Amino acid sequence: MKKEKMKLKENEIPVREGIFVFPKDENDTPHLIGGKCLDCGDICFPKRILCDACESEEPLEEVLIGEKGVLNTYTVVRLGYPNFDLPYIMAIVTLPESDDLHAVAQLEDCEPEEVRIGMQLAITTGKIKTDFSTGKDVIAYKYRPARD
Amino acid sequence: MRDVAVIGVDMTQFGRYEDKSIEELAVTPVIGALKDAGIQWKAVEAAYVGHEYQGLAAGQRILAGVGASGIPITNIENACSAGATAFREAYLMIALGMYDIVLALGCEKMDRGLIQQLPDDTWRTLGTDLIPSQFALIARWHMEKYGTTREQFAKVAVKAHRNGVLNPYAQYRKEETVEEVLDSRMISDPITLLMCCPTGDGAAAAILCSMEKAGQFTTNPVKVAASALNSMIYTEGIGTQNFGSCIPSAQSIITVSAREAYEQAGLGPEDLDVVELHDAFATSELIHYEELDLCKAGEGGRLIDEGAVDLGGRIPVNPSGGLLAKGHPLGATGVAQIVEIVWQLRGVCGDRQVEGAKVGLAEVAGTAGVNATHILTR
Repeated sequence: MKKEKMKLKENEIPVREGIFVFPKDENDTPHLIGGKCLDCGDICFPKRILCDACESEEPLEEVLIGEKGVLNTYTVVRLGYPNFDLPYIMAIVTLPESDDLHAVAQLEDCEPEEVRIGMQLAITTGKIKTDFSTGKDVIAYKYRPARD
Repeated sequence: MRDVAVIGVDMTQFGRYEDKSIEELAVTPVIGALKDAGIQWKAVEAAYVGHEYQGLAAGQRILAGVGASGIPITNIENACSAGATAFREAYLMIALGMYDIVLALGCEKMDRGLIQQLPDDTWRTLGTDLIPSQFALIARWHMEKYGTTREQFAKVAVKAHRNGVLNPYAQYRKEETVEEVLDSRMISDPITLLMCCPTGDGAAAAILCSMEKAGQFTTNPVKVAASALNSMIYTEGIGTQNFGSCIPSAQSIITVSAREAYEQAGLGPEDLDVVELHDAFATSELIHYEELDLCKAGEGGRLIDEGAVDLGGRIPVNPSGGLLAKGHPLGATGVAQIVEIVWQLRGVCGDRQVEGAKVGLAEVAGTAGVNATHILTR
């Protein structure tokens, strides 16, 4: 397994705050920032303000999720916004932490012909596009085939 | 609630009107619908104008062309359901007794290429909110779960173009073969270029009237038997939030909306004679068959294979050519679907007429989870 990318290089910028976190050390992986209900325990991504699964009035608590997932469905994007490197694979990843919990993500380290619905995935980070104004690589969470 | 009738309709041919402003383009079917209803503009008590990208107070700018009569004009943006939402507001105002005669107008002039969604939307930022790709994800899911094939999706586009040839209001009037659809440029696997609706310009108008007064204007009113408008039903996770109705594993708002409409009308899918549905992509039409209960889950492919949705079939879908061939000027579409259903129920559709049509359904979905369903009867 290749070592997880832990920090940004000179020519990289993060996509935005509040969606994912980088690994905290060499043994860690990136994580998605989900929301967990303090009353019923249901988890959502992205984090919402209030729980939709129950009638709790407590704001959701931040929870780190998404280390692993299973490929639910995918497409190979061949026409897209101009600052994205085409083609890329876009997928819905089913996450194990809660019922009916999914993330949409780009896949990397995977050729279109290798993709299979049901395949095991692991989270990573990588370039998703080029930033229009700075020309830098925009880094976000992605998924790749689990090889361990 | 009072019964409501549609007494006048008209639309422009969908296409490119680069030499016309939205004001010039959209006033044309208003004049046509007034003439069809046999009324003067000054008889109209309120107007609802659906559009997505036409700027501030487009309804006021457009309707100044028929006269500044001082009536309330309300602009409605509701994604691709904007036109249908305008129609619904007109319907509700009459049903609730506020007015007797109201105009619903849908209109749009569009740029070419991909529709730009919110520039700062999280999922666009991630490159995951492309509309064709969202529908491709669902199509791929359907293929995996039910064995639906690319050829079956292509057949939907072939049917749309075959019907479009028969419709003088359609943007594209050229037949395509399954091979041509499959061999056209790949946009987002399995969706090819000819499985995508085009962008374009157009406008459609309907004059609605309380049923008790409709007899003054027509001997053959078309009744609005149901009007349902729904937004996403949040089950869980990014899937349902980002894709609204699009993730079939979540509760489909299209099904919720259709069943609500069936209940209002006291009718079921077996009672429908003709359907105009939201085929923004050929793949989504096939799945909409199932969501509208025209067939069971997983049987959409069989419906297209058997020709049930063709003109002359058990339940003709999109005799107008649908969004795929007739075109999809966003805000115009919802009203244009209703215009087609009204014409079908009046029996004036010529070569694309569904014989003896008495009950029609129009369904239009929108990005981020919007769906409108109307049922009209004669």
